[in-house]
Amino acid sequence: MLVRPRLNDFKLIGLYVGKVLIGVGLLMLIPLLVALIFQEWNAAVDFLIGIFSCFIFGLIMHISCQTEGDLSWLHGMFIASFSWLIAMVLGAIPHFLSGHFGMYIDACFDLMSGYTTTGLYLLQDLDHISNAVNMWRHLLTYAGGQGIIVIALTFMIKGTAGAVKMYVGEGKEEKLMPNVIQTARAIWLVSLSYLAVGSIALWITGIFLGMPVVRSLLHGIWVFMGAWSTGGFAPQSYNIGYYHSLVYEIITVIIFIIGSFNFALHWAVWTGNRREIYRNIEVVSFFITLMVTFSLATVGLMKLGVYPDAMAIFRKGFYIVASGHTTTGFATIYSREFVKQWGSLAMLGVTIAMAIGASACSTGGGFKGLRMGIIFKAFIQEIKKLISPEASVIVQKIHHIKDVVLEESHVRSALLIVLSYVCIYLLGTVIGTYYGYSVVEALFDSVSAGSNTGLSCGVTSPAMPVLMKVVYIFQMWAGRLEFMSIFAFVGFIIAAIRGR
Amino acid sequence: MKKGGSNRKIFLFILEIVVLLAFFAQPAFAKAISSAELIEKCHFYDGKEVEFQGEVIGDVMRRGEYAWININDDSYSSKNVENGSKLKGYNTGQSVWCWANQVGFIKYKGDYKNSGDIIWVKGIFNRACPEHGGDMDIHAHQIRLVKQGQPISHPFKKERAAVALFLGVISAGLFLINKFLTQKRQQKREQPL
Repeated sequence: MLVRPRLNDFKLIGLYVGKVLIGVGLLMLIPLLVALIFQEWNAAVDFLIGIFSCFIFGLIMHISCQTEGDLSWLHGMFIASFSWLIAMVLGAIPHFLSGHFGMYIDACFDLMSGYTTTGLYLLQDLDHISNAVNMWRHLLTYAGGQGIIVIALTFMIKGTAGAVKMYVGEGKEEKLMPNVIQTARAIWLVSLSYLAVGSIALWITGIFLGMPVVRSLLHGIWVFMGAWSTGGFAPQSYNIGYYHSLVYEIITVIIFIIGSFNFALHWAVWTGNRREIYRNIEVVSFFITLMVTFSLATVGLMKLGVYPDAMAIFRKGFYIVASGHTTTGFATIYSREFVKQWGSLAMLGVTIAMAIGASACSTGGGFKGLRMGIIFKAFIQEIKKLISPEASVIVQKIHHIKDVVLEESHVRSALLIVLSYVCIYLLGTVIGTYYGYSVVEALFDSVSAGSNTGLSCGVTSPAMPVLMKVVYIFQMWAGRLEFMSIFAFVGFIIAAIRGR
Repeated sequence: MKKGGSNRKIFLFILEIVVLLAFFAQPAFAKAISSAELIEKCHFYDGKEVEFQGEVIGDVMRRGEYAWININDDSYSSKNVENGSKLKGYNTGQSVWCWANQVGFIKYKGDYKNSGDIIWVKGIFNRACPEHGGDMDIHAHQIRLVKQGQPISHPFKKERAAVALFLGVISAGLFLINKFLTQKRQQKREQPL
């Protein structure tokens, strides 16, 4: 029997969503500061409107929803999924006011793409955008990569038992520290440390590439944010192709590969357990599938003679496949080059890489290396069972921070999530094909949206039908939150309508 | 006589305009190929000499004796969104590799505060440049300034600022109410039972 949520349930949800909204408003203070520094007065006003709107909605919810109750799992999951939607709508205000979006849904698309670290965008005339809006775009991916609930947990929510339920609801399950709020702070410690080192490396490189000091610094920070969060936004429309630099490409590859790893792995290495790097099932799984998909793309590129030599194949091919596999979405080629030059086989290699995606509890999307590892190990276990005597017991282990005996529940859970991803990939493909795009192209952009990658072969554009924009927003949202929160969201709404 | 002199003046005036147009509207510009066409027909144009025209974007990145420039030939190159252009899709352009001394004249690079210089380029188009790790680019041997860019003025939007102020006042009010209610709740909690 469905139980209709009581007033107190709505109050609990409102209270925490209000806190998250105030957090989003506070986050906008950074682009506001950038607008003031660079004397972009109109952009500053746009951000003030965005900030105050977040504060007003957040404070109204905070005032009107005061309650003492504790959060259940359903509350936590609903808050996580609902917060992302509300944060998208209000966070899109400065974007829309910038005048670079045709419709409000386009601005929402870019917001969801940023929060979910996807990197697809509908912003028009990117090359004439203000520094403040560019800072907001990249900050979104950086903050979204850690998770907006993680931000709220770090700065705004003090030690509640329900915090862990919101944290898990955001698609993160790893507990680096005994307390979930300490875990959230540990995630920020890791990310901010890398931000300092990575941005400085890119800044200095940018100066050597011929960029002015200040622009190089801004680009360094933004590109780092795009790489680390596996977001894929870049400050210019040429993406990473703008810089024409092997060094810049190498630095970004290193950053986005590291950024795609599990925060638990980062924390293990951070606290001295370096052996974890090559023992962890996700790292092993990632490098195997990276090599397989890169080989596939290489065969496709060689067959068509796209690049003049092996170095060019490696430089372009590996960069794009690694960018796709880590679900970053940085590109060193034009979108249409996928179709016009790369061909179906190489595109398939990239599509598979995007579909598999990065690590669990990271900034990345896709099936995740952990699930691929679990499914592969389960497959091996089944084969061993077939060839072993009937009475024998086959025990399969996986190593993820510690050795874990593979159980049926792990396999079932992994397969359920992978199946859910396949469903959303297919949803976008069917819709794209309905609107007249070829299956290969529709599949490519659909997988890119669902796995939060951001590579595009030209399907994603401001001119695409509104329904496709909505479907892609749904894919990005569902893919990032890994479905459980979405199921809870739908369940809560059904209970509110049909429950007793 | 007077009428004949007037006709002659008109004739000379038209002739002058035609000559001036012929001088400034260099015939090469008419042959400029768009970046969209270069990408769509990259195999056809590969290794051929092409002419390309557009707005210099971002930076002139000098690399020793050479330089990279990124040139947009989209509809925003004539009037960008910050200058009041309607939205017409994404930016499109091509990267150009040239001698550093060829681009010394470039003054304005397109960004939020500037409309970049419009330049014309003649060079070899590479679908996958062997010299630059497979980049799609144009190796320029001729570059000319077509139109100098200019700073973009951003008139302050007073109505929008008034909206921001109004929302700010409401936020401040709500903040104070929230603070008051929080204190009251805290006092209530601290009161002995």
